[in-house]
Amino acid sequence: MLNNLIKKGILSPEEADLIKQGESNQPFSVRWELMTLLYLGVILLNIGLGTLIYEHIDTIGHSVIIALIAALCGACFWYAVKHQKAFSWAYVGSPTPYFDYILLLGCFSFLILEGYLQYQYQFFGTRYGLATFIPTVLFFGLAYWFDHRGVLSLAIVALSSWVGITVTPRTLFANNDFHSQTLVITGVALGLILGAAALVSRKKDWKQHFDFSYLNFSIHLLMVSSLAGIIVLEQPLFYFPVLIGAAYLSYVEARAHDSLYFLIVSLLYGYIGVTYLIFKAISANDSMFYFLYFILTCGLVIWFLYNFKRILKDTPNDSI
Amino acid sequence: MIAYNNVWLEALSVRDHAEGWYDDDLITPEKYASIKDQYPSGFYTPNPFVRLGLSVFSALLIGAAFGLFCLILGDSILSYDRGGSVCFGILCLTVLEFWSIRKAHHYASGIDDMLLYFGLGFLTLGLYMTLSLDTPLQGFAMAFPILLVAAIRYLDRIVAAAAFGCLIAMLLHTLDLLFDNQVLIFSLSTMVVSAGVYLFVVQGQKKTTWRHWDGIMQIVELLSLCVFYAAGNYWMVNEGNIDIKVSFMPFGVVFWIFTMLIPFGYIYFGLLRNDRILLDIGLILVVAAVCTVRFYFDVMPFSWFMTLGGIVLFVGAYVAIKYLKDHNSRFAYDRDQKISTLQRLEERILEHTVSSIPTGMTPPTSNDKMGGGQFGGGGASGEF
Repeated sequence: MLNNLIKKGILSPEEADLIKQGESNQPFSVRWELMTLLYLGVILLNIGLGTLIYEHIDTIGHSVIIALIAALCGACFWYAVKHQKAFSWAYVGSPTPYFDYILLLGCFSFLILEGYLQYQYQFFGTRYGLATFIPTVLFFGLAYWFDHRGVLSLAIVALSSWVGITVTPRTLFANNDFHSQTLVITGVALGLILGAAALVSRKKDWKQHFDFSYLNFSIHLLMVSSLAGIIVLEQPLFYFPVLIGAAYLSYVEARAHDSLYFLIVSLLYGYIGVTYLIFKAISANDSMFYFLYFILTCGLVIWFLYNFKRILKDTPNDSI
Repeated sequence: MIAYNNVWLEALSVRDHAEGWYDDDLITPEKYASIKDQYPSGFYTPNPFVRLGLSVFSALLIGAAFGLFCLILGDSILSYDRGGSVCFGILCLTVLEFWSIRKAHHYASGIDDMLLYFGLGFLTLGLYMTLSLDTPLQGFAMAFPILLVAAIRYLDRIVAAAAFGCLIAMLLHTLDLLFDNQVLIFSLSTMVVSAGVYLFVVQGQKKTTWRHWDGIMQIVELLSLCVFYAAGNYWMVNEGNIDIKVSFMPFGVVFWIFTMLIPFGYIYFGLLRNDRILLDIGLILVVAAVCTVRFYFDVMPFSWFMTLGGIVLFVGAYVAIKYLKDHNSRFAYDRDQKISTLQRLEERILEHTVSSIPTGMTPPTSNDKMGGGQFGGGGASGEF
């Protein structure tokens, strides 16, 4: 390849030599491997300690274990405080390579500790709200203080549990009872609040880089809640506009901030909603109709995706 | 041999290399720009998310088209099990070849991917039904050449992986016919074949004339390393084939040594030769080796095992990073390593799968709403 470039007169032989040398002197980066090991270490430790307490509850050893976890939690937060960089509303990189992981470990062990206190001593009694409210506040604080997007995600999840929803993607459908009107409404409201949070962090320049986490949770929550409203609660008159509104929002987002991810997400959710309503309205008994429907509509969507750069001028470049 | 435009493929690979040189400050920005100018590529390759969207909707469309096809040709000579599927598969591949690639210049667009997968799927399954093949061996033997040719012509990694899987399945079924229940022969032949495939693709990647196939050869390299290990892993050999039910493992010790040593061998040679595939597979296989041991020997309870494992991993990685930061070595812990979109996507997926792992404190009673079960997230401050 280098020879070809020299032949074409793009590179001089000296430059080609430089590249050759540079390539062979390049150290072998093992960063990704080490990061993965650190992360796995945190996760395993967290699972291990959690089960350990659970198994040893009511035995003499458990006080030792709980003291160890408390010490671990304290040590992690102490490390974070000791190594933190000066606070800023702008992006602050991690001070040390392990910083992010140690802070995460601290947050996980805090959850284990809190869960234990509630289980063993009914620390919060029946005020379960308080039990999720404390980590919510703590994690939001830590996320902003130490500039950590992982902890921010934890905080958003804690906030959602506090308002009664579990929003981790894999459990989203399994754990929630969408028959409940309140839950769906709460989902929509929370989605709007998180969307507003994304806007505020952009407008006010408060940790602008947090906007993706907020927006991602917001859009998925809005879309899933409105789909649930349409399909399970059978109230399309109210929820279909919500779905279309959310799809429009993510479309605006896609145009404004080079975010094709949101374009595709809104397209997928929107397609499900529209298809459901059309099938329900027509309820044809003829499989020919369904096949033709999918062929036509999918063709249309493909045509749109294929030509969207021409259709929407000055749209997203090839970025996320 | 390759369906895609060779000049453009070459241009893509030059641009890719030039980007690497530019990131490593080996060429000036002007030089980089001039290389990009001189090597234009006319492929339609959308952003990964658009590719995903196009894949989903193309798959739906092709599925519906097949439904319509069957509906129209219902009871005729071309019903789906009497050649209809074969015809539909050929139709997909024709559209892929003449429209998608030659006319619309798609390359990894999602549409060409789906046309290829559905085309091959309908073709091979259709042939299996139409020719009334009745043993799996015949099926694999029929599919293997088709998949192999398709992988070579369309440079597709998934098809290459499927072809490799077919090869191994063919081997195992043949051995099953020839030697009934001979564990050692099964294990040794699989090792020999996967080692042969490994050497072939490693040598192949050194050939400049084969450079466009590097991607698919890497996938096969990765798979052959895994199969080689699996063929000698104690658990796989002992339990893998239920029919065999060996109560006594011949040369059990040899397999135990193999199970324990190979992962570390992979890691060692991976580091020695700067071979990332070997290194990463080795790291993953250490987990496999540990699980194998735990399956047969009750070394320690699960919770202690996880806790200690976590500590070992964390401390090990901590020490390694600290060492690499303070010392100059052949290896680097380089904070500004270039991360591709795909890797970022991978991080995101990792983050989301991990976020569903319970922290172990699942609520003991139903009215206890506490318990950290649903918390998760993480992924640190990776750029996305």
